[in-house]
Amino acid sequence: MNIKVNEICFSYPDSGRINLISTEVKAGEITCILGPNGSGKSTFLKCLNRLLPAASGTVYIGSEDIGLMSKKKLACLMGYLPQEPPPDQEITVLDAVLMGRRPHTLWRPGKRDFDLARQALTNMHLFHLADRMLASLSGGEVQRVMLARALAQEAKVLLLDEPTNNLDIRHQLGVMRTVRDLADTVNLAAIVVMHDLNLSARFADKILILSNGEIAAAGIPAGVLTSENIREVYKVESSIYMENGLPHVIVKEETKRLAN
Amino acid sequence: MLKKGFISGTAVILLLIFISGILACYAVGIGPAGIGGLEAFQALCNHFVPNTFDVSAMTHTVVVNIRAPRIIMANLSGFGLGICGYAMQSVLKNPLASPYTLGLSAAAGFGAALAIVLGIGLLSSQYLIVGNAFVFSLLASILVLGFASGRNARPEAVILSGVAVMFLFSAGITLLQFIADPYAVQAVVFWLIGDVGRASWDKILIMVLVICLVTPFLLFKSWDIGILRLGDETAESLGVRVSLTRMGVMAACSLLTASVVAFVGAIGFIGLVAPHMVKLAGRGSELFRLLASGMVGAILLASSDMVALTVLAPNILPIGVVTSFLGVPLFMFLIKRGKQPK
Repeated sequence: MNIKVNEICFSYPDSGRINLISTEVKAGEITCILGPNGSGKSTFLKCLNRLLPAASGTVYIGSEDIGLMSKKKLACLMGYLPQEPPPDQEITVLDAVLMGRRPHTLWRPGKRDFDLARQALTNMHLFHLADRMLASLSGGEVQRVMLARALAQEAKVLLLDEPTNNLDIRHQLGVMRTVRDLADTVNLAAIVVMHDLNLSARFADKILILSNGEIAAAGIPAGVLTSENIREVYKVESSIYMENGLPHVIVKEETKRLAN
Repeated sequence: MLKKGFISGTAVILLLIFISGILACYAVGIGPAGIGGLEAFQALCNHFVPNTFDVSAMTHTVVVNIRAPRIIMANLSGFGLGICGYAMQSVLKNPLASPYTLGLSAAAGFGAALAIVLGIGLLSSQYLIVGNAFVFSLLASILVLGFASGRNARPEAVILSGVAVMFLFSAGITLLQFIADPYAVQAVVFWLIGDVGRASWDKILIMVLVICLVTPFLLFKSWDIGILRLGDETAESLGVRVSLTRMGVMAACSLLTASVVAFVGAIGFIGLVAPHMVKLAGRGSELFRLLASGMVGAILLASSDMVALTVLAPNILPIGVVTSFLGVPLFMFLIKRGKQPK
């Protein structure tokens, strides 16, 4: 399902805001949201699934306005992985994945829910870990379990808030490869908040760069990841070289320091 | 797998109920009146099918009106404290959460002390102390939850306001003890220690009603309680109404624990230790863990009462002391054994 965002605005009472952000992500596509700390990336993501109430603007999944949906219906359509790992990791992998079935049930999981959770684990090559506690897994494995949860949730849109945080390069690639596979095979629309410019360039169909709560640049990776945009938004100098049609960013020096 | 675990979980619950039943059968023959197990059994049979056995009126009174209510009240109170302890610890994400943490016990103690020392209460005669304890305990939970609801029911807001309320009512108890005469002080101290011997059939009926009200609600919410362990944002994104669930569970637990502390006093440790014993003993669904915590609480309190009755017979030890003396070593052993995640 496509997700269409029209001029979303949100302000925190003390400071920080996002202003008139619009974008569209088609089914099977990945959009990466980039930008410096405090630019409103996570706030934008939370407005999309109503964790934060947008002051104005609309979000459509398919042709339905999410503002008019029940929380349960929204949860059936939209999966969300927050920045922080689960605070209590004394949960088995199967239980954690099974929790993705919550929006589809009344009070406890039934046979179909167990079947779908096991299927999700099999699809994600995690079935051998089903009885393990989350606490005993690596950070990358926990993220993949959370992705399996979203798969069991049968979500049409996936929101990921810095899913590669605290992961080594191999696990970063593994997690993003999984997201790419989900987009390609299950036709998920994914919106991923990230910091790694090169990883975004490699996996995203589209990149949105936010600065001070507004869109600074948007488009395909090669069009957005330019030295000018990076200087403008991050205040760092960089050079870009292309390989297989993808931009690779080499960060050089802070702009301010060079000016001095 | 959880499904398989749930089936074996049912077997574990049945086993715990069986153990509780065995303990109750044994406990009915214990007490300072010197009535043995066989005689007590005959008195119970006589109660349900009159004239089955030749039992004296005194034996009948002791067994039916003192021992049986005592045993049932110990099991019901233990169950209530155990199941609420687990639910509170889960929704507040704090392993130290218990009726003490929320100031419910201190508030009940203050209510009781107010009735004992100044004779002030909402209900008259025999329900003066119990009524006060219950009302003040509920008042404390309303204070805590009311304050926390203004802060999106965040766990730390609930716990911190609970601790503040606990200090407030503890100070109130101290003040009342300061102005009271020595006999009243003694009565307050005795009440605060806790005693399942205060049980009576009418109190049991109320307790059963509250348990029948609260337990199905907690079991219905068990999956949501488990999902909160993934974090509030994740739970919200899965369609769980986090604040409503947390406040609902806390309100239900407050009602049950208020009943327990009003009827048997501030018995400590059960609400804290029973859930941890279940967690440390193994894994299982949230529904199983809730029920198991309740049953472990019931067994702990019932067996503590048996020890309290026998260890210095014919004197009866305060049950709160026994629960701690028995529970702490067992608890420490379980922590040391510490089931490591595999």
